Amino acid sequence: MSTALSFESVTKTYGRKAALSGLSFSVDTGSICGLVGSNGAGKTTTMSIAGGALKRFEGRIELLGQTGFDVEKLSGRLTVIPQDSELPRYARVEDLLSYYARLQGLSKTDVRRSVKDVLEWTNLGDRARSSIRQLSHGMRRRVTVAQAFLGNPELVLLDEPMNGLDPAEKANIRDLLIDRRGKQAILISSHNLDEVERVCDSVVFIEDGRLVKQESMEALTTKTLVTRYLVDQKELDCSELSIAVPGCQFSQDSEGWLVCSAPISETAAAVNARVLGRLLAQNVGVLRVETGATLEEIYLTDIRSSRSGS
Amino acid sequence: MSFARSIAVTALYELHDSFRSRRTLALFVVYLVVATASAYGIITFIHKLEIALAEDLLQVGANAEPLVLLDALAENRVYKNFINKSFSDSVVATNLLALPPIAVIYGWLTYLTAPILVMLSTSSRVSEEVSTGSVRYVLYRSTRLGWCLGKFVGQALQILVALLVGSIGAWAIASFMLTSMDGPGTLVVMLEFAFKNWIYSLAFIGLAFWVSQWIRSPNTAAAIGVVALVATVVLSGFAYHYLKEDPGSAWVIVKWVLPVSHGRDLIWSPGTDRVVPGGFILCALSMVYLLMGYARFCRRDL
Repeated sequence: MSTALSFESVTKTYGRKAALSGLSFSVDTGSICGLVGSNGAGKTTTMSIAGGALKRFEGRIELLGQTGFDVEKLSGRLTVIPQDSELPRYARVEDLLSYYARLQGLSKTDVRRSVKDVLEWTNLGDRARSSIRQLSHGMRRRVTVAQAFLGNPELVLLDEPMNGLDPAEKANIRDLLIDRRGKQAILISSHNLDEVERVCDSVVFIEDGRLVKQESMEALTTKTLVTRYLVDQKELDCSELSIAVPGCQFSQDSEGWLVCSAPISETAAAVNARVLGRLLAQNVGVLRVETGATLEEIYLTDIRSSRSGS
Repeated sequence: MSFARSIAVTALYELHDSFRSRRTLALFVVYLVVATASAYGIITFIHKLEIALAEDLLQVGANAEPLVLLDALAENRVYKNFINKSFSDSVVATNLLALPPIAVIYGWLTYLTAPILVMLSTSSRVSEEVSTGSVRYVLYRSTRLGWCLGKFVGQALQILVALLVGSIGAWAIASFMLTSMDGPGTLVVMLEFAFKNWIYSLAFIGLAFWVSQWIRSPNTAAAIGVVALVATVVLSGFAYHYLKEDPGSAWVIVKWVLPVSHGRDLIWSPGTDRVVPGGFILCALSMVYLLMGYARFCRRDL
């Protein structure tokens, strides 16, 4: 499968602070990839570099077979939903979308058809003549989603596309994204791991501007055996536990749940035996045990392990 | 998408958007009001002056028609010498004396006010979009240069419309107040002044875009735009003063890179000898200013 987007050792600094430190990852053509990381991990910087807003960085990016961001070759092939970017307040929805569509090189007929399609697609048909300032936050968000699917872009970069949307709108956009699978490469940056898990084919975890993990969603959720233990002590030393129980990585949340991540080659019974043995030896009371991995748990385990490692 | 199409699409949208934007609409109204009110105010003032002169100094009856005395003065030798000395240029003075006084007054007003209005309305056009982030929706659709040039052209067309509307407004007031005025002839001269002032304004639009591409905050950009305008006028004054004393001094460079002296050539000179080069230099300066801003804008993180 060919690559729609790739980052190779990309480093971006703001003054002395590094937002990205040698980040490398790729997105396959026609696949939907989730970009996941905590606040300040570098998601928006990554999106901004890929979308051409940030010019000064080190490393190499490749977009749809082009090295670097060359708008003359990418216009109409790549679209972006930038984060925290307002739409022009006085513009009418239809006029604005038509302007964007014309700017990316669509013919008059295609502009009309494409604008009509995206307005229907985002349920904004009845607000086509409204100005942006007359729209609610959620509706404005839908306009930003609509503009990203004008024409037939091969690569779509969505920075927090679900922000500010109500549950029904989220479900709508989610279905629309799933419908695009195989037709366009989409990179979605999001905090909502449930959404990412439902929509994406693969996921990239980043932390402090570095790649923590890139895996296909299927491999990620079936490759790791996750077991959760509700314990009576809330400040266990997870690093010490990881050393004491080889092959397992631990993290603990504020409610006392200790999450153990082990290779899928292990059985749940074998992991339980080793972990429970260790906990009992430390006089830790175990109140409940659950098995099964969600993306969120895998992410938290990986990120905490990455933090303790660094 | 071709570079030229990108410019055209952005320019048309900029113009279209400016008509929808209240602020730009306000600019139009302000310009029309300034032009018409100034025409009315000046005609009324001169008429009162004429009445006072006729009654107190010349001991003749007051004339009901304004500007008759001014027309008569234009034929007077002493007055001609006075104008010649004021402009330090007999060719320019002769040209001005041959034109309808109200058109000359309109030309002067536009010459003085158009750069101010341009700097106030245009200095924040790019920085506004950068600060709100709306520029990010176009950066992956158009080259930065194509987008900037498109916005420049859109603003230029907007100023042209404002100047033409203003000139027609001023002419309408003058026609109403000066019944003996040569209506069509004066309108042609006023439209010519509006067009020449527009060419002059292009340099200031370029200057405003330089500022706007450098400064992120729209308010700061508008303020710096006004400071840049004042600096331009002051430096031109210095250049004029020092070049009179020493024509070979380095001030000639300042004179060349600033629009004021070229604007004078374009707007006030008769014929084409100084008008055409003046116009070309102003157009070139507008592009130079814009590209000075672009030199930073093209590398900026937005």
